[in-house]
Formats: sequence, C-alpha cells, structure tokens
Amino acid sequence: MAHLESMRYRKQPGGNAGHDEATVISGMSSVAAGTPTTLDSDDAYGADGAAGLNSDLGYSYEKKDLDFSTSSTLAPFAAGDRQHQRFCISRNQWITLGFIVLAAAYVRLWRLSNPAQVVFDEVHFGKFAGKYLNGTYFFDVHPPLAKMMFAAAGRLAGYDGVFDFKSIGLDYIAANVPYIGMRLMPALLGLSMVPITYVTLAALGHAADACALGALLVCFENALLTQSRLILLDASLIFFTGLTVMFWALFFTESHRPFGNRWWGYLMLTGVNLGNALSCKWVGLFLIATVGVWTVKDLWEKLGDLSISPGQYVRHFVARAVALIVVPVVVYLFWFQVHFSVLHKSGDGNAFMSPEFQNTLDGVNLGHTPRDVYFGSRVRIRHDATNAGYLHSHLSNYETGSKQQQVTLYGFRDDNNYWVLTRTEADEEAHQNSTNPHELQQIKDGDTVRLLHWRTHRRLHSHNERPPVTTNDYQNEVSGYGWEGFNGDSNDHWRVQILEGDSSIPDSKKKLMAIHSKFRLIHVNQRCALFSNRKKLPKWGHEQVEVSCMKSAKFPKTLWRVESNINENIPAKAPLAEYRRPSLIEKVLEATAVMWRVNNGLTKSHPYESRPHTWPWMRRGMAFWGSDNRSIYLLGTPIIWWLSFVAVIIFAGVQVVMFFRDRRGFHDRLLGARERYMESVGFSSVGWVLHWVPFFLMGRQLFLHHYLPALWLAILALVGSLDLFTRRLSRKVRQVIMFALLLATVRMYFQYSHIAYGSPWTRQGCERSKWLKSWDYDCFRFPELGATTPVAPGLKPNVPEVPMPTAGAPDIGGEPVAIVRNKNGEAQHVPPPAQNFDPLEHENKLNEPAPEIHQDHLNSNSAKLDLEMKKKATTVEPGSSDTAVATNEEHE
Amino acid sequence: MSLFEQSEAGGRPNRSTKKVAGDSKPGSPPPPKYSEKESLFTSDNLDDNDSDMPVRREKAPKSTAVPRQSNEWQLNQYWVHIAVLTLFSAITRFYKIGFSNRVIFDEAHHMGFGGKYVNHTFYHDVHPPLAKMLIGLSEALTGFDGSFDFKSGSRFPANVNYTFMRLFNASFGVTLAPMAYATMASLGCSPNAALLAGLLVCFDNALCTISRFALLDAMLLCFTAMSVLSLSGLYKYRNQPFSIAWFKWLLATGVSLGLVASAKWVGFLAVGLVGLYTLYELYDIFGQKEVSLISHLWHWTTRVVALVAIPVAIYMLCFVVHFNLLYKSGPGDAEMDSLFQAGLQGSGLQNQPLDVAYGSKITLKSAHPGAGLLHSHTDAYPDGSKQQQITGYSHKDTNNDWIVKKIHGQSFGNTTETIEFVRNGDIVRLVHERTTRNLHSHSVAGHVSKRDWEVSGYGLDGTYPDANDHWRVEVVEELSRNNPERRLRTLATRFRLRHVNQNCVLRATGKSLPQWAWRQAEMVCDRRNHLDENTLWNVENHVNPLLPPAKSDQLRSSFLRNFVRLNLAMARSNNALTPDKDKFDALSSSPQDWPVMRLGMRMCGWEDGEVKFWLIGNPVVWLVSTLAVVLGPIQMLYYVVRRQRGLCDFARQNEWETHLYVSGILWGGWALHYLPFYAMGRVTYQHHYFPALYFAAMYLAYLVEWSGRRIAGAVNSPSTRAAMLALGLAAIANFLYFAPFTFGFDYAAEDLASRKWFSSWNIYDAAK
Repeated sequence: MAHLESMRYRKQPGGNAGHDEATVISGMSSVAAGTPTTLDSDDAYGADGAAGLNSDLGYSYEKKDLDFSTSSTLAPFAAGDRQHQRFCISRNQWITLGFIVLAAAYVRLWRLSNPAQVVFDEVHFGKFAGKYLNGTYFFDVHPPLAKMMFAAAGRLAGYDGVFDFKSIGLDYIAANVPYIGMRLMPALLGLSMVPITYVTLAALGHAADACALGALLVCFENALLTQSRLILLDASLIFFTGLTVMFWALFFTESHRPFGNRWWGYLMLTGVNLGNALSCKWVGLFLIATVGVWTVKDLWEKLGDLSISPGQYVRHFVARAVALIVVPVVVYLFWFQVHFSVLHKSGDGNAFMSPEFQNTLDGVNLGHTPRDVYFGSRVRIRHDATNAGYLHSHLSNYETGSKQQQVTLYGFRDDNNYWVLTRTEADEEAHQNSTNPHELQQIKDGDTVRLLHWRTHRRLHSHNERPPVTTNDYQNEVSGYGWEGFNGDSNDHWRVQILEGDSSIPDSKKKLMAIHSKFRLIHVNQRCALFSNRKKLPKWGHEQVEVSCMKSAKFPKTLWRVESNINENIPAKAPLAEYRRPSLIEKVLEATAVMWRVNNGLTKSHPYESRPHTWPWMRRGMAFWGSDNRSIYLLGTPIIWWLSFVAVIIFAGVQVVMFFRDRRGFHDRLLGARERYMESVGFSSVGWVLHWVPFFLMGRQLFLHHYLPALWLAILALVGSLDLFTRRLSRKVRQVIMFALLLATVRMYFQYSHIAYGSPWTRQGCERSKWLKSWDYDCFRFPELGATTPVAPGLKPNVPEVPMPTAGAPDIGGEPVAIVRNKNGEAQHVPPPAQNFDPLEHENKLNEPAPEIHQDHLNSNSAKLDLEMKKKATTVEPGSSDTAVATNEEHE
Repeated sequence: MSLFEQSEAGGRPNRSTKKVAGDSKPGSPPPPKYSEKESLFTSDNLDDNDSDMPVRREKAPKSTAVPRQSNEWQLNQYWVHIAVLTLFSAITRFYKIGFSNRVIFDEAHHMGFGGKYVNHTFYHDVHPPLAKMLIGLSEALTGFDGSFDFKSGSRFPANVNYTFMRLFNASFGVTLAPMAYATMASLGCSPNAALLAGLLVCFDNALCTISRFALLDAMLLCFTAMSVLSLSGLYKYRNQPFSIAWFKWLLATGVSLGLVASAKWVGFLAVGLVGLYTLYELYDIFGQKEVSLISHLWHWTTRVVALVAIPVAIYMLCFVVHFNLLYKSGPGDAEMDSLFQAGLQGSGLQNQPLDVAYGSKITLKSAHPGAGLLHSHTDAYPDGSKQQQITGYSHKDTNNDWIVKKIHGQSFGNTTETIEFVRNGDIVRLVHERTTRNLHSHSVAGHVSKRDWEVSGYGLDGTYPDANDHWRVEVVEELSRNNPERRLRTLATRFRLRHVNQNCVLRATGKSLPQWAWRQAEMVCDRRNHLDENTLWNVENHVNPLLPPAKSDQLRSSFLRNFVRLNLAMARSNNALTPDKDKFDALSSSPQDWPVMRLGMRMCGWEDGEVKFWLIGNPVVWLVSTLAVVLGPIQMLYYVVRRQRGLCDFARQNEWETHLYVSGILWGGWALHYLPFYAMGRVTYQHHYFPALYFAAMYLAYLVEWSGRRIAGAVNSPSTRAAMLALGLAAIANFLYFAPFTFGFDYAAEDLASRKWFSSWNIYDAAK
C-alpha cells in the first residue's frame, strides 16, 4: 500500500519529475504502453530526455538498432511528433508477407488429399457436417459455428451427407466423398494464421524482421499444421482466436484516436470474433477472459488519466461493454439461430432435449392431449428432470431384491409406457356406492392413486427392498406387483403431490393436468417419492434407467408430468394441453445446459488423453491415423513448444523479480523495453495462462490439441521477447539468432513432417526423431532403410489394401493404438481393440432405444411369473407380504 | 474518547508540516513511546508513528496534561468493559446449562470420543484430537467411569455429571466476547466500537447456543479468537518489532495457531489469515530501505519459528498425547495399518511369531485403506474363468486364512529345528485354507477393472499343478530391525506379490465387486504395473506352532508413521462425508444459506414435552453483519476509484493505510473462514459459519465506527454513538426474544410460532 501511495503522490501533474519518477509513472499508468495519451506523460518523457534519450522513441533504443526495422511499425508507439501517425504496414513488408504466405501455402496445402481415409475426429465432425446437410437434429458438446463451416464447405464441395464417417480408416474415394474440399476449409484457416501472426506482432509494436520470424514459426509448426489439415474444429477456433487478438492489438494502435472510425471498427471486429471463437468451442471463454483482463487493466489506467473527463470515461466504458459483451452474445445467439433453423428435422439428438424443445422440430409431434386427468385415465408419465423417458414396465423381473417385475424409465413411446390411474380399493368402493358412480372425477393434489400397468396388469409398487443399482438404505425398490384379478395391497398406494403448475392456468397446481402439472408420487406406506437418477440397470434390465422410491428426496428428480392422457369418457370438446414453444434464448440456454452437463460427463479414459501439466513440454502426442507404413501423429515442433514455454516463464520470472526490485526502489528499464515487454509479451503471456491454467480445473478428458490456442499465444510471447531483447545487440548478432531459430524450426518441420502429413518414413529416421521416450508413435510401422520398397509418395491416394502389419506388429486395422514393444520389436500386452474416441458414447447409450423386448418370448414367461407371485401371495397373506418383510428387517 | 478527539484535533493543523517531516523520515523505527498499558487506546492509526513523531513531541506539553488522567480512567474503563462483557457472557453461557438431561446433537460423537480417552480405547474421527481430549479431560475431572456410551438422544445416567462437562466447554465460549473487545482495542478502535463488537458476540444466539454443549465448536471459536487477538497485538506493535510486547504477541499467535489447528481443521483457515498477514507485512518491510539485511533475516527467522515451527510442534504434540492416551484396541483400529494395531492392547496381533515360514497360516492385509484382507469363499465368478472368487474383505473370519507353500513340485519338511523361512524374492504358492484353492491368475480380464487380469482360486492344493499359482514375494519396505536375510515378517514387512508367469502384481483396485461377490473389494493382477500403495501387502495374522512369539518391542511403528497415516485417514474420512445431492437433509445446509439465515437447525428430538434447542443466530447480528461484509468492499472500491482519479479523501496517509490493514484482518478473516466452504465437497453445516460470523461481527462494529468518522468527521460523533447504541440494544433485545431457542424450551414448538420469521425456518412442523 505504501508503494501505491508513493506512486500516487509522484504522479501529481506539474511535478518536476526526475528520471526515476518518470519510469515509475510509465510502469504503472496508462503511459505504460509507450502510447502516450496524456500531456502528463509527455512531460514525463520529456524529462526522460535528461537520461540520455534524445531520440523520438518511447524507449531508449539507439538509432542504429532501429535501422533494420521499418520505423513505421514502431511509429504508433513512438513518442514525439510521430506519435500520431497511423499504424500501417509498409509496402516492403507486404511483399515479404506475400512471399511468406506463398511458402506457407505450399507447406500447409501439400498433399491435403492424403490420407484418403477418415482420420481421428473426422468421425464426428464429418458426420455432423452431413447432419447439417440433411437438416436432422443432432447433439454435440460444442457450439455450432465450426461444424456449420464444415457443412458449408461440404456443400460447396458437393458432399451429399450420405457418407457417415463411421470409423477411422474408412475410405473416402470409394465412397466418393469430396473430402479434399472439406479439408481445404480448415487448411485455409490454418494458412491465414500466418499473416494474422504477422499483423498481430506488427500491431503489438514489433520490428519487421520479428514479425516475419513469427509468421514463419507459425507456418512451420507441426501441431498447428497437422490439426488444421483435417476436418477438426480446432483450426476454426484458433483462426478466430487469432483474428480476435489481431484486431485487439490493432485496436490499441488507435488508442490515441478514441471513437474514430477505425477505433470503432477494430473494437467491433474484436467483439464479433470473440463471439465467433466462442461459437466454435467454449475455449473461446478463455479468450473472453483474456480480453476482459486487459480491458480492466486498460480502463483502470484510463481512470487515473485525468485528461479523460468523466463523460468520456463513461463512453469508453460503455463502448467496451457493448463491443466485448453484448456483441459476442449476439453473435453466439445468431449462430445458434442458424443452427436451429438448419437442423429443423427430428434426429438422433432429440433425446437430449426437453419435450418442449423437441416439439419445435419437424417430425416430432408430441401433439395435443386432453388437459384434465381423471381417475380411470390411461396416461404416459414422463420424468421431468432428466429427459430419460417415460415410466415404463415390461415382462421381465428384477434379478435382485424382490424379484418382481421391473419398472424403468424408457426413452421411446410404446404401449408399455401406459399406466391406468385408479382409485384405492376403499375409494373405489365408496365411489361405486356414491350417487353418481359414472361421473368423471378429476385427480386433485393430495389424492391417493394406484397405477395399473396397462399391458401386464401389475401395479406400481414399492416396499422395503433396496433397488438394484442405487443401494442406499433410504431408497426403495419400485416394482410391478400383482396379476389380473388381484386386488392389490396397500403398498400400491401413491399420493399425488402437485408442486408446479403452469402459471397461466391457475388450477394446474391444484388439479392434475397433463403437461402443465409437475407432480411427485409419494408412496403412502414408505413415505418415499418416485425418483430416478439416470442410473442404468444391468443387462437383465435391458440397460434401461432405474426407477426407485427415495425418502427425503429433493424436488427436481422426483417431478413427473403426464404427457398423454387417454380416457374414452372425456367429451370431445374438453380443453387440450400441449407443450409450450420455447423462444430462441430458452432453446440456447437449454442446449447450453445440456452441453455443459455432457461435457462434464466426458470422464471416460481415452488412450491418448493427457493432463494439462504435460502439454507445454509436450510429453506425448496423439495418434490420429495409421495404415500400412504411414501414420499421422499429432506432435508439435519441439523447439517452438519448449522455447515458447520458456519465454512465458521468463516473462513471469522477470515480472516477479521486478516486483520485488521496484519495492526496493530499483526501477529497472529492461534495456528500455519494459513497457513494450509488458504490453506485448505481457498480453500474450496473460492469454497463455488463461488458455492453459483453467484446464487444470476440468475433470473431463483432455487432449494435447486443447493446448494449441495457448501455444499460439506463447509463440507471440517468444517472438516478442526475442525482438525486444535483441534490439540492443548488433544487427548481425540479432539476425544470426533469428535465423538459427528459424533454421532449427524448419529442420524439425522436415524431420517430423512424415507424421504430420502421413507420408512414408524409415524406421531409422523415426527412431532418431524420438527425443522423448514418451512419444509413442510406432516406428515399427515404417520400413527399415533400404530393406523394403517404400510406398510411392504422390498425390494419388493410396487405396489401402488389407492392412499389412510390419514385422511383428499386431493387426490393428489402421486404428490408433498404444503399442508397447520390447527390444525385439515384439508387441507386448496388446490392448483390447482400440476404441474410437466417442465423446457421446455414454450419453448416446443412455438415450438410445433399449433393445426390443420380444413380447412373445416374455409372454411365455408370464404364466410362470404369475404363478410365482400367486404362490408367494398365498403362502403369505396377500397384502401383507411386503409388510412382513419390512417388520423382519426392523427386528434385525 | 476525549483522547481521540484531542489527537484528532491536534493532528489536523499540522498536516502540512507533517508531510515535510514524513519525507525526511527517521532511519529506524523509534523506540516505543508508551508502555503497553498506556498505549491501549492511543490508537496507532491516528498517530502516524513514524512521521508524526516530531509533531507529537511538539504538542506534548499540551496533550499530556489532560489525557494523563483520562488514560488512567481509560485503563480502568478497559478492564471494566472486559469484566462486564465476561459477566454477560458467563450469564448467557451458563444459565440453565443442565436444563436438558439428554445427549444433544453431536454431543453423541464428541462426548463419546471424550469417553474413549477415559477408556483409552483407540477410535477414529475426522477431527484432530485436541478439543476432544479437552472434553475427555472434563469427563475425567468429573470422575466419569467410562461406562456410558453417549448414545444420541439418550438420557444421562445419574452418575454422569454432564452439567460440569458442559460448563467446562461453555467456559471456552465465555472468553469470546472479551477477546473480541480486546481485539478491537488492539486494532485501534474506540472503546465504543470495541464494546459494540463484544456485545454483538456476547448476545448472538448461535454462538451462545453452540457453546453451551460439549461440542468442539466453542473451543474452536475460542482458539480462533485467540489467534486473531494475538494477530491484532502483532499488528499494534508492528512498528516496534523485536520489542518485548511484540515478541509476546508473536509467541501467542504461534501458540494459538497450533491450538486452533489441533481443534478442528477449519483452524487452518486462521493459519491462512495469519500467514497472509505476515507475508504482506514482510513485503512491507521488504520495501523499507533503511532495514538492514540482518534485520530482514531476523524478521524472517522469528516469524518462521513462531508461526510455523511452534504450531507444527503443538499440532504434533497433540497427536503424541492422543496416541499415548489411546493404548487399547478399539473401534478405530481398522483405519490404521496392521503394525500400529499390533501395538494396541487387546488387538490380538501381539504374541505372534515374527518370521513367516513355509507352512505358516497367515492373513494378508492390503495397504489400500478400504480393501481389507485377502479373502476367498466358495462362490465362483459368474463369468470369465468361472473359478473361485478372490476378494478383499474387512471383517475378520477364517476365510481370510492362507497357507504359505512351496511351488508345485517342491515340498518342505519343517520341524522346530530345521525350519525354512520365506525370504524376499522367494516364489511361493498361497493356498486358501478352507477351500484348498491356490491363489491363481491368468490372462482373463478382470470383472470390474477390465484392463487387468482376473485373480481366482484354482486347483485343490497340489492336485492340479499349474504354474499360474506361483507368486514372487518382493519386499518393498521393512519396518523392523535386524533382518539381514530379508525374511518375510509379520506386520513389519510390506511387500508385493508378483505373478511369475504374467509379471503382474496383486492389487486392490478400490472398487467393489457386484452383488454376486457380496460387494466385497475387487482384487486383480495389475499388468500395467501401477506400483502404488494399493499393491502393497503385509501379513497381519500369523500362526505357526513351530515358531516362538515375537518380542513386543519388535512390532512397534514409529510415531511419525502413525501421525502421517492417521492424518491421511482423517482426510479420507473427511472427503467421504459427501452428501447425496438429491437427498434432503434437515441438518445440513449450504454456504449460501448462512449469511442470510435461511435455515435454522434442530439440535435434538422435537417432541412436545422434551427440552428442545433450535440453533439459530441473532438476526440483528447475522443480517446486519452480512450487510457490512457486502457494503464494506463496495465502500472500499469507492475510495479506491477516487484515489485513482487523484482525489484525496484522507487528510493523513496513515488513515487509509490503517483502514486497509484493519479491514484486511477483519473482512479478510471473514472471507477466509467463509468462502472456502464453497469449494468443499463435503457436507456443510450451519455451525461452520460461526468463526466467520465472529469476524463479521467485529467488522460490523469497525465499519460503523469508521464510516461514522468519515461522514461526521470525528470519532464518536453523536450520530455514530446513537447508531452503535441502537445496534447493541437491538441485538440484546433480539437475543432475549430468541432466548427460548438458546436456553431450551420444553413446551410445544408451535407456541413459538411468532418467531418464525422466514418460511424456511423449521421451528415447527406445519403438517402437524
């Protein structure tokens, strides 16, 4: 605090600031960027002249150091008379950039057609593109934009949406899929990262040679390259991340002309691309955080800038709030609107959504149903919280507990979902004796009902037995009990408790109404509520969802709704009920909530998953595809990964050291580059941290490619640091350093290009390239040098034969598998058949139709089951069979 | 009070001179000007100790004359206030303390654990032992014979002096209010604010209620209050480091941190508060160029010793006492490893032969805490190999017995003279005694962990010789001495069993098998060689009539081992206290319920005729303090923004800095004791908020005073005083109104229906 204090006092305008103070000011205030915005700071810099800085530059380069950099790049950051020059890139620079892009185009687009097979997650995203073309609703854990871009690319290329991308290694040529066109889209996005990097670095105030170096590093980075040549989402995400950062950097070059056209343009473009990045993958949230942190920093410094009036300040604030909050949200909503309107047909994603949502799709007609539910109505009852389906029973029994008939949740409509709501024995008798026994009687809140399974004549029943999967002692099994003609017992009694109604229909909270009323069914004897928690029954339960009766249950998962309501006695003109149509916002919120839940549920292990702490040093890559003697394996260019990590760590270290040295009164200038270091490398490093650290909090499975946006930011930090700290060196030394880095990168690009492009390689070359033991691409796949004829390279896709393993390799059918070998090259412990990564497998299983139950087969059982039940009922007096069990347990 | 006004008045006109003086700061902190007693209310915040010195000296003749007297008066006032608060606290804490003669709420646990110390039987619990040992002490003082088991809700028998036990515990609660007062005084608040804080703490129903039973919370609160009191002392003398008073407070801080952490792990939040404060202070000192390097070292060393070494020592000392008191076998045995159990009287693990020989009958205990003993029974696996099941089972029965034999084709002839011991690296066969099946593994996938191999029971002893019955003994750790031959020893050797053919290790996966194996623990042969704790085994029971029993001193596990093991077990049990989030639990509550008093808690059965206690705070204290902790930071933000705009609100530098320091301690204390509960997976209860409330109450009093001074421009302006008075009186009135909940009531709960201020309060059952 005392520190801040001293700052503030020294900042009083008009003070005869000495060198020390000037640096303090620039270290803390808005002048930090070397983008002088206030008179104040100009004064400070003027005073700085005393310290031997007669040049017109914000930091103390000597003139000769700048010779090699085009001065115009630095102009916006230079103080003095050039400070108001607009940021621009010189003609020479454009020409250089043109050449770099040409080189990059060759590097990025070469052999795009190889392999002509489904690679890695093309399984998903190719398939999803097809769904867009067909218009059938599907569900995925990622927002829609990138997938829609693939759909658009597929449409342009002539993909008809028929091919299903079912598994890795399927052939494209045979299926006549225009996959090259689809891969061209991410490849072009990946390619445009090269100029984006160039412009970003220039806008961040770096010299022309550094910008070129950065662009070339990105061009030759193998992981970015591999990831952007396939039908995968990350290329789009990285592209929009890059665009956002670029416009954000450009925005700051306009900071001395606030509210000008360009200022607004760059700000708005930042916001739009933030929204786009977020609409590709939720990783875009980290980008929002990055920009947010920097906005707060900037606004805080502006707050201290007394030349900005309060009115102007409010404008600054509002402009950013609109551009960086409202605009991204609107963009996100817009893409979802497109998504929903393209996917207007019912499809396999239905089951994830609420009935209200499903009702908006073509081909789903949950229709109308009579609104009022009466005793004697035949109903379908839907579990409200989970979308897991309808209360269901069928002719097979539990294998545990009471061994009575199963009661489950089932996601699809069939006759086994029908239950008849009847009165209790006593009520029925009273009703029969009443004046008007044929009058329809509506079910009210608090009524006790029995639910008779329409097909099998069992009654919904519960007793003091543990359910098969959830074995907590406060949960009871729910079963179907009874047979035709059996009068039932008191364990069939359920009280209806209506908890929520439709606010527009006031009575729906008092009387049971189809669709509108959300109610619980309370077991009268056991005082438990009918409950389900998406737990699946074992095989004998046809893997349907368990239903239990829970004591002291909280509300949401005990709520049910009547969906279909059939009663012959209902007059034709009786009021109907139907599902409300949700608005766009409601639909997006629902989709987002489901995405969130499913995303967090992706905890299954995958052979190539990795935790974030292994990413920066690239402990291990990921196998994408393999066939014959070629494979694609995601592996970065080591020197870039490692050095960029080092650059960020050095930045953090320097900041910590300077923090303490400032405290001791040493105000280091870092060769005059301190402000620029903070504004450029600082921004990249903060972005890197925010794109990396949050992954530690995620429990879901993570992959190396999640690091790629952070990697790009780290590359910016690397090049930025290199630029700033070699400026004081002689021009020659600086160039030698930059060329050395570039040469090493290109060398490694060639070394690892085999697994990036999936081109032939030799075993020796492969073995030599394994710098870390944990890089587990399979070298035995490749022929030994000179021993075999290599597969002819070329653009002509290689029609795969029956996979021919290299010596000793197991038949792995072209799928990526982790193979451990001993020294002799024999495979050890071959893992079970590799599973393709399917993020939704679990969820899909939960939602997919349960296996058909052959009624006939089961009906042959039914006589036997009936007999067993009757036997039990006769040995123990009917009606007391369960209470007998209960008392026994109590005595224990 | 007059002193404040004077120094305030005295300070103002000299502002300009002071600034000049401040720039030419003296090189070293001045010697203490006042004795400890005198400076009780000469608050540092108003006297800029460094820069104001010249001014003070100049003013000295004027300002000493009157305040001399008032200082004495103030000293008296200080102790009078403390005495009054102590008296009020004692009354509220002790009144009708024996009203209910039943075991209330968690007394069932904590009095029960206290009883374990009386009986010396080993138990396991999630909390560190200090507070429970103190409860045990109170039981021992009453002459309790350990015969009562403190079952929840049961009546105390005549020979259990529960009143004294509760009084003992409540006396910790009594100290809370006076300590709040002293803390506020040390932090430089006026007596009025300090008194208000004391009253709020004294007349809070929740803090009072929880202190009146033999629970851990009163002690936890007391030690927390001690910590913050000592911290405020450190703060007060921060400009006179290494003075006697400073050392005293430093030592007191260290000791109270040790105590608070040993009472409950929540105490580590107080450690965090002191830690952050200390780091900030060190950072502050780091910036003072005049402090020499030696002095820096000294600053660091003293703090490390006092705030790290001492608390650790106290924490460990508590466990030393704990282990020494509990020397008999008891219900907590299973949480510890076999070797520790062997050291307990009556565990049945003493007097066993030490070295395992061929032909010995042994049981094998897994190092996995939940897996228990290697077990087999006549049931077969339903699929896979369909051979006999091998499981882990915690209960002790004869199906856990295994005979160590030589591999197929070899035999041994043991007599007392020539006996062959099992050594590290030996290949053995383990035969299940009851069923004569061999421990067997083969390349069939496991049943739950499908990536590993199944382990089964196969063959009838030697009848179907199969090389898949062979396991190599790999000793990993030896805890006994003098074992040159690396023999396999009972309890003291930890080893792996490696399957010879498949090169996999026997491992407890920590998962349960399905119902067909009675939900016992799964055992597999781990082929990926996860060489973790779960692959370690030790021999627990050992029977071999040919061998002599071991000497008892050979089977002792070291204190450090036990200490670490027990703390890990506590952490595990603590994490296992996770609620089913679909289940409604009337006792638990979540952090967002606490500051707004959404829920109260019934502490006992709710029959009409019984004495009932309902745990609820004093709304005046709780809700207004919540308002304070929310508004405080907003107010702070307001001033920060104005400062950034270059607007100077404070006549003195020091005023703002002091405000940051004091708010940091009080508000920071609240935040540190509250916000972490959001991150905790375990079930949370209302009483977890009480330490945070203690800070919030003090912060409320502080904020009222400080804001009053900002607005009115003077300390103790009439309006501030009126506000404080109103707050204090409202708190007392509300306390009395809610008194039945606190002191207990034996009439129907419906009679208190008027006190049901929120619909979520479960004072009575609406349904009834």
